[in-house]
Amino acid sequence: MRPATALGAVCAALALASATSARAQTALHGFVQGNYALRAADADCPPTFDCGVMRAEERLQLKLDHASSDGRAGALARVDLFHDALRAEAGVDVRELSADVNLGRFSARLGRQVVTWGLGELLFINDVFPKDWVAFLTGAPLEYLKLGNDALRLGIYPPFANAEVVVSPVFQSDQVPSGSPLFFFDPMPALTDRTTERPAVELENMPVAGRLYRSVGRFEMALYASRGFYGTPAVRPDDPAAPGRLILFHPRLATYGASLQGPALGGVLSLEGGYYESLQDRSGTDPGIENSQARGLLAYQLQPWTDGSLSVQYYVEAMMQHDAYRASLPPGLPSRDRYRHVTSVRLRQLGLHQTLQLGLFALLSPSDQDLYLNPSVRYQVTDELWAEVGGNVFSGKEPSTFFGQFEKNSHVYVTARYAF
Amino acid sequence: MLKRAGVVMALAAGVLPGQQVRAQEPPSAGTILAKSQQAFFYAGSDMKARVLMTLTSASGQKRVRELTMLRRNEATEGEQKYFMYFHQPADVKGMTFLVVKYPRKDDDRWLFVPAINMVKRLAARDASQSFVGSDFTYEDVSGRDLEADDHTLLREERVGGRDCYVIESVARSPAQYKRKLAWIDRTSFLPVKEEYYDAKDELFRTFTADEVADVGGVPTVTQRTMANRKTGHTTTVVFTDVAYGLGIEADIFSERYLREPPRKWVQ
Repeated sequence: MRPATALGAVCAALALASATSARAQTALHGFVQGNYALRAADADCPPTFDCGVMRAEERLQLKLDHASSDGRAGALARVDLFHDALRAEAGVDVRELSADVNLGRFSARLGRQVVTWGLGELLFINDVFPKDWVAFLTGAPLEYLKLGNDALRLGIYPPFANAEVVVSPVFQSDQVPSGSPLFFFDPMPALTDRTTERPAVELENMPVAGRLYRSVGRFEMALYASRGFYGTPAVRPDDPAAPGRLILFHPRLATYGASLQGPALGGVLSLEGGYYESLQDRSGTDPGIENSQARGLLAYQLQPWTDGSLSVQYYVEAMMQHDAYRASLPPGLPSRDRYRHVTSVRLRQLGLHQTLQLGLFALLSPSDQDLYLNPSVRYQVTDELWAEVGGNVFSGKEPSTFFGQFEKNSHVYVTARYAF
Repeated sequence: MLKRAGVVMALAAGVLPGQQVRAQEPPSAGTILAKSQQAFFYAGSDMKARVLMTLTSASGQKRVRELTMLRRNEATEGEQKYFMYFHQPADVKGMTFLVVKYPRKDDDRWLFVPAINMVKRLAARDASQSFVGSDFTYEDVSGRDLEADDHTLLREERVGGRDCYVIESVARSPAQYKRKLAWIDRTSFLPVKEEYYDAKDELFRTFTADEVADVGGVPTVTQRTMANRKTGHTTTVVFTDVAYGLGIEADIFSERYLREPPRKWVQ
């Protein structure tokens, strides 16, 4: 949906909600934020690169929330006005813009909205919704990793289970690194002529995702399925014999998964699994397209002492057609292992009446031999104002692995936000 | 006939004075505390309140937490569900929090973060953890298992114009305090005052019920203060719009409504 269409839907809902109510409520909130990141890695920067500064941005977020007096209808607009000194541009970033109805056993939300499913921390299996990896890699607050999705979300809540379906009329890709200020692994750096193909806007290309969930005792179970496209693009040369141009495109993807979460040994145990079916390369013979994969996550979270929390994760992804992938991989390109293992640990300590937060998140892949570290300190100066200083450190043995490729993007960031 | 009536009256006369004597004997400490928990944490089949917490540091800096609290007693004895919707501060507005409290078991807690539309289940082993950075702990908000302490009725005395039982509770299981003294109103069974002593047996926290109101026949503490005597930090909590027995639906306390806060209840 285009913003204009969404805006129309919101206005219509607002009008409807206001017309039916004497006590309709509208609230305006938001924040002003400064967010800066400085590269903290040796990088041999080409002249086209902004080397030292990776982010220099001010934002004003306005959040307008409206609800009808009976609470059955509402609308939400969350809009950022930003100034990006790095690109010398200012603009409007519509984070969310939606209208909703909520009627007993049924609810619906139409418009741009953020949807988050699944149990992993930075390890996504059944969350197939758009992500902004550029924001993540340049020191933006973590909430900016999730992008709003232009969609219709329907919720149905019969007594035995809950069901949600998210339909997006137009496929929205992830934001992935494409140049300054980010370094990343490029398998064909010589081919600088590139073009991106997006799935045509037609019925059969509408991404659809569903989730069925319920509680059983103190455990929560969910089943997931989706049909759409890979968020990060695949590549193919225009002419395999004499490539002159590289085409970036989003291959078809179907996912199936399940999750389970509940109490165990004084903490919270999480299990999640999924199967990624690479619909355009089931045989695994196209090295430009992702293999079908099985993904699994085991996580455990506990509170070891007052105001402290500790969580650990183990994640694995397995390429289903690894032999075919190896056989078809052009010479000279780095080969991926059949299994990618990732472990992570997060430590968080609150202090000073929970106004001070010390955090350390470490993600390490023994198979890729790479890692990601995020130490952070956040202080809530007043109810309105907080500031955070931290680092995003990437390191790896090989320049082609998931985190290793970002080694030169390691940075320190500072964010200050005044909320109103 | 008259004779029989006389016998009945004599029997009644014989029984009643005895009962009166027994009524004057104070109930056991355990019974008083059980009644106190019932009056303080379990009143009504459900409850709704707008809660304004003011946190004041020793230097006088104030922070505010404002939330709508919905509470429902479950059919299982002692089990309760709490749904909280945060109005203030602005940074957490729209955040929702669900707590399921079980007797003699850790709570289940879920937090909903609106900016990323994510529900996160939280490990909740430590009931003496501060609630939203205030001087109140989770236990102070939803009650501590009576079996966790040994209780003794020390005396009865008058505090703030109320006749009170004074009960000492010595922690049997790990707690923030070594012992606690509680002054419990003989009539309403609401706590009037509490003193918490640390491992060195030094007073470190005091609770006071500053205002009690009658809400539809239910005596309710509408203003309370917890003061940390060692740090000088205090938290005052004011309840407004309190109501009981509203028929809050069971399914409000679910992931669905964490994500879609029930405006009917939280506005």
